[in-house]
Amino acid sequence: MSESALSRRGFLKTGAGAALLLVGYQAARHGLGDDDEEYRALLAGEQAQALSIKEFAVLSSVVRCLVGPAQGAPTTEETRTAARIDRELMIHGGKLLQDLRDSLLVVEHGTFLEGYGERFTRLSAAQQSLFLQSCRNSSLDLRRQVYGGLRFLTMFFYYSDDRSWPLLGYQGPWQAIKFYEGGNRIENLAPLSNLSSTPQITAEGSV
Amino acid sequence: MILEGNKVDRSYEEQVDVVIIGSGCGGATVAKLLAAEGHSVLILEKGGYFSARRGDFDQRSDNMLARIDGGRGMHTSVNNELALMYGNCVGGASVHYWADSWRMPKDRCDEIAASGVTGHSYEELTPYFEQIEKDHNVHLAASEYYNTMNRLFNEGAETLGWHAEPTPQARRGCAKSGHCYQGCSYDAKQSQLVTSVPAAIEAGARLMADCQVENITRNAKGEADGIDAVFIDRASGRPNGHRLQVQARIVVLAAGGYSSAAVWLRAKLPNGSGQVGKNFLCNPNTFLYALYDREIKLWENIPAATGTSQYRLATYKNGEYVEGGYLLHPNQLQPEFLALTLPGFGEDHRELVSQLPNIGSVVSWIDDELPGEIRLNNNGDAEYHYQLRGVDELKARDSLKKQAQLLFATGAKEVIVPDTAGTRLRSVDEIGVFDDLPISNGNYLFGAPHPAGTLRMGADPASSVVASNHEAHEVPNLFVADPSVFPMQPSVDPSISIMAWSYVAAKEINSRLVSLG
Repeated sequence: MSESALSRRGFLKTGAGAALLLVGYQAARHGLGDDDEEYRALLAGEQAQALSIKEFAVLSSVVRCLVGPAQGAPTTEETRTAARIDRELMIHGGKLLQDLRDSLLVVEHGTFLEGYGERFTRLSAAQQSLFLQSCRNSSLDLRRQVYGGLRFLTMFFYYSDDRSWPLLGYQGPWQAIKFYEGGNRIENLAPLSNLSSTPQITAEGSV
Repeated sequence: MILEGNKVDRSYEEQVDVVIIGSGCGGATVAKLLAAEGHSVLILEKGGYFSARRGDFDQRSDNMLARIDGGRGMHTSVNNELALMYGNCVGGASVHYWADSWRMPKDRCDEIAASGVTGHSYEELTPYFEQIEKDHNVHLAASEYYNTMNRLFNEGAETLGWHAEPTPQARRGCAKSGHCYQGCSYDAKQSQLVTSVPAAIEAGARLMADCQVENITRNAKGEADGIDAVFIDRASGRPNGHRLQVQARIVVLAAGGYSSAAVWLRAKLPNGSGQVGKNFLCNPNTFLYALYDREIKLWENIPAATGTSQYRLATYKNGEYVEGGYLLHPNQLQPEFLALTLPGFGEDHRELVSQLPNIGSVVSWIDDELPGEIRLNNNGDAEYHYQLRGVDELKARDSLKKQAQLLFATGAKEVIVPDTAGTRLRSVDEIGVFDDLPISNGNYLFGAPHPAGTLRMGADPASSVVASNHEAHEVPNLFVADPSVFPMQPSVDPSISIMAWSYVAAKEINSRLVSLG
């Protein structure tokens, strides 16, 4: 394989440029700022550290959709999955953080390119699921990688929460937990603020 | 003496015979042997020091990856095809390995010798293999250590007429917890953390953890003569403001197959051959899941007490690939990772994970031949460029077929491919799907546990980086002792091979130190 063939395959970098430009255009066209009140309402009391308010809000919606609802399962707000991802991104910085930012941009505004007429966070739960399914099955490397990257982080941080283990038939570790100062568990997060409550998604999907 | 970053409240200047960058299978082995010869040895480890006795190995995948994994479990190749699996802790990758302990096979030693490498023949390595196996209690696991998947593997192999053989294990008093990849909570797995590191320290070596080498210094003659480093704050992963300068007669680069070439490139050491960072191999893993009517509990007991090397070597007919070129083993994942790697999302995924105890798996290590490359980006961070292709892709596809055959032979109801699409097979008649299943471009995430080759050994300075005595062709007094020097993959788990090659490195370094007086 030639060097040029390899370099074209940089994750969400070179090959993603045109798509990100398109998505960025959609974002600008719809005039949504980072500090939009609708995004603040999606934070569920969390304060983003590595991500912007908008990015954190989109991530929260993506995480909720990927894990999906289930009786007896903790919600992604209870497991603070988005906040744990944000904490991990804070430690990593660099390419992982940038790729996640780009991925969230693609998800939030890529919906317009698929004719939804609304950004991701305004879609109904069913529409959000359909959109992520289309990313998963897309013929475009970029969209599949966006799906794969977001899915990896979501599932890892949701299913490493002890409360999800009964769903897995897992009795848990044999050892007592030990706090790690460089960790990314709930114990490593700042307490929830009371800025806003958990968002409610209506049947129509409006927040 | 182990100095941890959180105990460092000042900068240090040191003068030693040997400074060793890295404390894994290569660095710890060299440290132990040179300290035993009476040399002053300082080991520097970028990662932290964690101990079972302190309760650090708490068996939570999130905590443990943050503690011991090089990328905290999040590091991938630039094209997102490889999950990079490597150590970042005292003991290196041996802390999370499975304890599989194969000698480098004679046929591979012969191939390496034919490439021009001397002093590493099977016969020359044999006494080292024997000593290493003794020191690490390498043995075949008793039947009580076979988990359900291990037993199913043997039954399936027998049904298919394949030869299964026990995998040598480096363990002592295994508690069967199954938390091998997260680091052993019982000091039973014979990683470098509980073998060569304490042996080195007992022999007088010192170790500084949380210490990241930024530069390898050279004197006016171009000889390596020390290092510059910073101490890292574990909570933030960033420098804590204190530095280390070491003057040394010999510098040993043993930061591992993912990191040594990056250290070299950051230090801007000579690269006249242009081979530094090239020839990156990683034994990419293919694996499949299977749904059974019975409970498997993949996460219990030891991961791979058995396996088959029947397909270790690829076979060819009239120059065309036929089959093989990989090892095949039972797979083990802890539930969090099993849930993560099962395909899909939402309700479909929930339905799958609700059957987690009934899911089994097998895994292959592809003996890759077509390399990628390690490069530095503009920030000085290592980037890993690699794509499975050519004959390696054929091996991967063949391994998936063999895995599916074995899983169906053990009574699997359904085989689940962990690809993006979540492909499923209902019978062995469907294995033809692997001939053209998309497995690149983000469709399949390969594990990449065995990096090698990026500072490869060879006789010719024009096409290799280090000589057969492990010394850099272009940097006198700089020796490399880790899998970066392998000209090709060992074709088996590399830990014993890395240690054996490091015996050769230590012998050569000792000779140099003696001659230096």
